[in-house]
Amino acid sequence: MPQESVQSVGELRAQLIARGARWSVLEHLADEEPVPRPSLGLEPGANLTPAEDVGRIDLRRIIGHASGNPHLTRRRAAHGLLAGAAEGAPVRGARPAAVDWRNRWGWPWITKVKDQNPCGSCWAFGAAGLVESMARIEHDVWAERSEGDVHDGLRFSCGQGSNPETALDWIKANGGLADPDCWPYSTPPAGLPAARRDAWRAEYTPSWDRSGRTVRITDYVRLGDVEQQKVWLDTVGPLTACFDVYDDFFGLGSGVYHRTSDRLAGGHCVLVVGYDDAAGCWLFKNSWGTGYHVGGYGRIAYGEVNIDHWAKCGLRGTNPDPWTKRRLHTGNVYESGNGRAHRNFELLATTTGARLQHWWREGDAPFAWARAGTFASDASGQPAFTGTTYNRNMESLHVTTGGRLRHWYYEQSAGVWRDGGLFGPGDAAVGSTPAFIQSDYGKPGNFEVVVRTADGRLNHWWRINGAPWTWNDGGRFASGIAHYGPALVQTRARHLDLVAARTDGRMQLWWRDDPNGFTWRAGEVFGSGTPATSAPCLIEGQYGAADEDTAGNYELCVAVAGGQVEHWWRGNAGGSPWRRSAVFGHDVASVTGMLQGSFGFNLEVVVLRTDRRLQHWWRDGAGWHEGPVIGPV
Amino acid sequence: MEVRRVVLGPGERYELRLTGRGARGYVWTWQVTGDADVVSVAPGPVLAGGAAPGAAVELSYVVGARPPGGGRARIRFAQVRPPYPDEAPYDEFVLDVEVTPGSGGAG
Repeated sequence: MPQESVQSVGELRAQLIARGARWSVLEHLADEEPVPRPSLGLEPGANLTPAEDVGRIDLRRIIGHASGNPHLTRRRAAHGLLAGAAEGAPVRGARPAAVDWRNRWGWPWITKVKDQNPCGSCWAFGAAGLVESMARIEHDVWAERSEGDVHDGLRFSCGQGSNPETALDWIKANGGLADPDCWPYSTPPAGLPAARRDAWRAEYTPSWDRSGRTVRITDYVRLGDVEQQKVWLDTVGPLTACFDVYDDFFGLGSGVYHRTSDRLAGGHCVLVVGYDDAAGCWLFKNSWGTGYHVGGYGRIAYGEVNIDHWAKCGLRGTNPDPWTKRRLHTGNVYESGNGRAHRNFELLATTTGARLQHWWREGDAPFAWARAGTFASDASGQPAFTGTTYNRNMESLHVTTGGRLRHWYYEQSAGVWRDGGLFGPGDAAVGSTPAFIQSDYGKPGNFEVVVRTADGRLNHWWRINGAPWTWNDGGRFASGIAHYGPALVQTRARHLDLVAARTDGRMQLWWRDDPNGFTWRAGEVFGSGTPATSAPCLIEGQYGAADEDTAGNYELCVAVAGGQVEHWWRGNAGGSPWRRSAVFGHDVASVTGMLQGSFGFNLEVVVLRTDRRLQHWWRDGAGWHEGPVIGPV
Repeated sequence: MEVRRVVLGPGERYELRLTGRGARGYVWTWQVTGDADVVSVAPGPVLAGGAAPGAAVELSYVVGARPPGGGRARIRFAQVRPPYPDEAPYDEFVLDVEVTPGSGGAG
């Protein structure tokens, strides 16, 4: 019996009406245009796991603990999944009627729709989309990943199909999934004949600091039971899914897709980012650009086109790299990937004998601070502390008692602190903290340092991260600087921004004009009238970062007269000016570090008190809270 | 771009096989110029499947010669993504069809 097929978009529209379809054809297609009609689909043997082979799994064992995302902890509690809840069936009525990860609890969680064109790499895009969304959900950070890293790492050609399970297996076994600047997703060069395009393969040569710029993953989870898939979407995050494509699917616009054609067109994989029980459908993010469906997102009815025949894959326990989080911390504290939840805080502070003490805080309750090793013998003030793409090494920089700068690094592979050497001016302000970041100039990116000098100016130093590893004097600029410290950010436009406190007690932004001779230029002046008494701390946070390409707000904390801390912010995406949002704290001598970590977009601040003890303060939706005293410096 | 020429008698059919990339959003479209009324184009039967997601597949299209014949038509196939009309086609193929006059036909 011949297979039925509509010939034109007009016929498809008529067919949808005749069959009472709940979806409509893309509006930009004219009635006389043809609809696609390829062949083939997913069949057993495509290396996908059938859902029935997985069945129901023990969700309580897998996700029966608090999440770094407080919203998810509440969702898991509602389902009775957390430890201490009664054993047995999931709580009835706990699951919402709809989940849409594009926006939950007022935050975006899904990276932008991408385009795999023209390669058959949907499986890599599904897997990368899963890693990106879970890093965002678990760590409150945008972490754009490269589909090319896994696609080319597997040595697949442009036309080669595969499946998300193969991609996730490779990501797990190869140290994670890198960012596009480490190794991009690439497509055949323009002009290559079509006949050779499918066989084209990129020669995989990621930057050699790849180990420091991957989101690492542990085991992914296959889910075969539809109800459990919905619980997972509610309590953990998105899922990869694969299905058969029929020739009417290419016309899917709005509405819920269900098959009206009998002509199979191929097999395809996407990221399921939600469901809607009222409409009876999955919500998916496709990888064909924003021109398909509704801005690249579509809806498929439950059970249609074998979407529930194959197991869907979920992920938890992502471990983002220091490069991804490079703008989210400053000063003597940052969040590493250590610990069960990959969100330990690492802190450096001075201790007796001009030495430096490494402190750390476990990322799970009771969040106690503990001491690790000590090193150095010439620290005059609090150090700058960060993680870099050098295999996620910890890197420390401090002003010495002799007014120079000394670099130390913790070599992860050997588990030891090593002296990276002395450099810099002989007149760095003794007792101050330098600004220290890794920029994206070069791979591994250059180190950039700015320090206040004794004459009230600022001095920029930089190191190309390759042999001979020498530090270079980038020159002095500004004047009348009273306090300067951990307040240096590389913007999305690649130039450097910093904020310093002037002798008049106000603050001023300075920026380096890279296209015009790398000249430092003075920017806006701001302040409350209460003079700053120590160096500001500055980060680019996640507030205002609507997507992975949009700059978040600047968040700044500075100690002011009276022993309190002023919190300021500037809206980078919308161009809003500096505003003071809060004044908090007591007995504060200086703010030594600041970060936004994996704790529900909270801001975390470490201050040095007038009694020479470090204390943690943090801000959630309810305001600033006084945290524990960490210890003496 | 491949150009192929075929000669068909009225009522004859010619099966054409093209690489389908439907799993990437691509569809084959076609445009007939010349004596457009001497040929017809329709999707052919679905060929064997079973490849991995994203993989290319083989598609068939059937070109028919309409009686009474006696004309030449050019069929230009282009593999495109419908929402992106400004993109260059992934692949193109031209079939020049000569349909011979049928016996007893006019002139």
